Amino acid sequence: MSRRRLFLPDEVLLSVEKPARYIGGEVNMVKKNKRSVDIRFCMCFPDVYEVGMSHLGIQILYDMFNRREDTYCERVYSPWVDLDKIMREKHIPLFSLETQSPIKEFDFLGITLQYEMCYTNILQVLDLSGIPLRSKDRGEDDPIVVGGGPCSYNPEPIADFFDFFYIGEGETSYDDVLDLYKENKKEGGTRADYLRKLSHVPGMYVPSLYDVTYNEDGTIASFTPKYEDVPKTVQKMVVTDLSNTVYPEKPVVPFLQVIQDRVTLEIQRGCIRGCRFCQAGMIYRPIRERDVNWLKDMADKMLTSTGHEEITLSSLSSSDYSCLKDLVYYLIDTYGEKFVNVALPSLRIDAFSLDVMKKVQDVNKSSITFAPEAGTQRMRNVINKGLTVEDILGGAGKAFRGGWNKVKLYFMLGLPSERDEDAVGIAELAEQITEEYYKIPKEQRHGKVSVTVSTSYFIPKPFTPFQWARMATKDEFITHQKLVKSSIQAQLNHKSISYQWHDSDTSVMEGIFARGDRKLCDVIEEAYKAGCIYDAWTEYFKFDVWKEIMDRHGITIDFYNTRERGKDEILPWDFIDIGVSKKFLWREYERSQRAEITPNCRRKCSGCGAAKFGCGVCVEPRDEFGTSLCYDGMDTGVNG
Amino acid sequence: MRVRVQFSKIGSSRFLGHLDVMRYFQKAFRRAELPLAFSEGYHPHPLLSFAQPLSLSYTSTGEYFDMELTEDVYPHIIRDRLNAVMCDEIKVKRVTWLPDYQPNVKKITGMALITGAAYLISLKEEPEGFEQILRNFYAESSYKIEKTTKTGTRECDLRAGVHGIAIYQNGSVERLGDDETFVVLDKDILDAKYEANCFGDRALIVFLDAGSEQNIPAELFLKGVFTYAGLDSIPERTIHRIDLLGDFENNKKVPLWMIEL
Repeated sequence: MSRRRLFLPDEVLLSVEKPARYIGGEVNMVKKNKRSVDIRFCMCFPDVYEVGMSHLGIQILYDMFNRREDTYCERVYSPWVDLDKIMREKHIPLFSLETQSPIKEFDFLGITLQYEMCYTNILQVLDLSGIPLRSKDRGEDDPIVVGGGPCSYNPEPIADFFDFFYIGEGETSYDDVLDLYKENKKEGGTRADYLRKLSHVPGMYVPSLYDVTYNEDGTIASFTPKYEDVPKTVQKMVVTDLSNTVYPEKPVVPFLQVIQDRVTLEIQRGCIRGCRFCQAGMIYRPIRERDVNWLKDMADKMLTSTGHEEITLSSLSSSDYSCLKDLVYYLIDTYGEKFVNVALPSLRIDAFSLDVMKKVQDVNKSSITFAPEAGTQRMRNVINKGLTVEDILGGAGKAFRGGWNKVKLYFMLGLPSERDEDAVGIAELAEQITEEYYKIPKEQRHGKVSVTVSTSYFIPKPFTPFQWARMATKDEFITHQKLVKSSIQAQLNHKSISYQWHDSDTSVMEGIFARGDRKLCDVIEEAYKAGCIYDAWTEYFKFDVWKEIMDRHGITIDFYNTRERGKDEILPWDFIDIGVSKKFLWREYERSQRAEITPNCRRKCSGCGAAKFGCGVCVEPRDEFGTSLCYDGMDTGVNG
Repeated sequence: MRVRVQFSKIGSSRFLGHLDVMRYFQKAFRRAELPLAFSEGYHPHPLLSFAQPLSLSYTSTGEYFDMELTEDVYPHIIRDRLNAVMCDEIKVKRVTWLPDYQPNVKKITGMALITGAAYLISLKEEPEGFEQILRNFYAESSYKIEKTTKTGTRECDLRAGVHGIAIYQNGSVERLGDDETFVVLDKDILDAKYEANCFGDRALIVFLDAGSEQNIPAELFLKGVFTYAGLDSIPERTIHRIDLLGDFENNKKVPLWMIEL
């Protein structure tokens, strides 16, 4: 048996926290000879191992790439700060987990972009690998750096660091990307030749092939391809049949306890609800379900191949999955006796969800979660969150009578047109829930009720109706957060309500990245060089450093966050076609200003444009009123 | 049914902590579809009892746990089914049957049986006259050192905790000193030498007290011997646990897999 050689010397591994982050060798790790493949692809999640290993998307792509005989896909994650320091001091390059070899040897480095606050970690990975930070400085021997995932729907703040972005769902076009690479290599083509040809493949965005000019006020004047053969818009890629595509039957099983230490079944992609703040709800349109029997079979295979003790379902709004009951009862009945825990996703509170919750959770310890997102009905109409007070109080009441006494509530602060009464409404809703509990006769109660209110700050995201909206300032955030707090304290049942809120500086920075343009590349590079990494971790986020660098570059919070954008402004992400039209988003923005709600996709099609993909809810049969025959009649999605 | 499982932890798995190894086996049992017995209660956990944790960076061919199954399965089938679903660097070596617990008799698990451990130590550079130093050390009747534990520092007799010292070279084992209480098969020493990460074809073998009564970690032994010889720093080294032992008849200690308790 040949021994795996570790890249890091023992004394380094012994001096860092959790050395198992860097050794690879996990169960189901793919083993190939790196010398006998044509393409070496390194997949990166730019955060620490335990976070990155919890991500389903990478497992899907890892499995898909490795099904190709000519390709070996390996993994790399951000070294934690302790190892980062040692690697810089000792000039140790970053390496892959599988073959424990330098990233710089690879043909591709693929980086998944799951949240904006990981941007400096991308530079950390490039820098430690010895790859020039900017695409333009890379040579023929450097890996091709590709980005994908939710943040690639506005790739502009990090455009200079990537050779190309894959826009959309990874399952569809990577074969073309890799085949083209081999072909170009065989023909003796250069890196530039490859990227140029790649720009013709639908879904591929090569930032270096586009010129951006700016108006005096800093807005974009033009965004144009440098050459005639380079397309003006980039089409998002969509899997049309989710029951007939790749899925990792043998996911890698980490040795370390990771955040999602379980089998994840993605039951559907997309969402019918159309909440106006939600980017995922727009970019993954249309909703597409996976076949329930396919899912049952996949659950069996994955539990057998991993030995995980838990399985969970993943989707944006699980209650909308048409075969949910069938699937959940199957999992509970089949795996309950094998001591496999079924971790339930957020569900609408009804007889079914209360029944399954009772079966798989300890009622005394678990809590009921609602995400009303806003404190008043007007505000909920503005954001098109169909949940009403009656839904929440009714659901809570049912849960209380079923034995639960803990409720969690999630809200956003700083929503467009938010007034003081909307903040006060959050406190009032929490109070009403406690009152609902005390309506139950004393002898039927189970101890005291406990309501936890959490608020995060609203950040307008690209490809949502609020992409034009102004984001609240830090002061406005804090004023309303304090108002929620004082309103709760002034209420009768304040002792039953606890309140938690997010850090506002992080939200400000995330807002800038979310709707940023290419001018931010310099700021991100400078912040990284000034020592910013792991910005997503509050203890390492240095807002003062960011602020100082932005000031020096003339980057203002007002321009990116607080300013309301005009209808005709060229937005940095306008060149991407997600199917959902800009016209529809603007119409939704206008409806939000009138606090008008828009029906969900199953009840009535609103003509968003995603129908052009010809799949999912857009092709479900409909009755004479235009309602899908798959519609369950529920105007609310999940309760949380 | 109760069984005792002996496993090896070699190569890069030397950087896995004790908790990670326990989690690894729990998932391996599920993959192997073994009828593991679970505890009662709301959060049932498999009935497993792991022996002494191994220090991070040590490799081993003598790790143990005892487990309970709800159905009878032949030991060799347990071994083969587990090895079929495990990674290369943690493998089951032996599985032995244990008698069922008798009602009203105190349960003894592998952990409590341990009274000795055999280690294989490889030094990158051996100090001059090292063999003679070891012989001299073994010839002493006592050698007191300071031992620091969680509860504080106290004096302990290092020499009394050493029951044998040997040198492995070119496939043979030469005993420098041995009180003949430890019974370790030469086959298991050769196997350990093969699996351990050694610097060359030479290694030091020591038999030390272990367990709850008197525990001499391999590092402590090395430190003591180097201090004894007046040498300051211990060279770069790798340490491998050959086996864990428990008390047997006639004052002998034998590997845990030989003890049916």
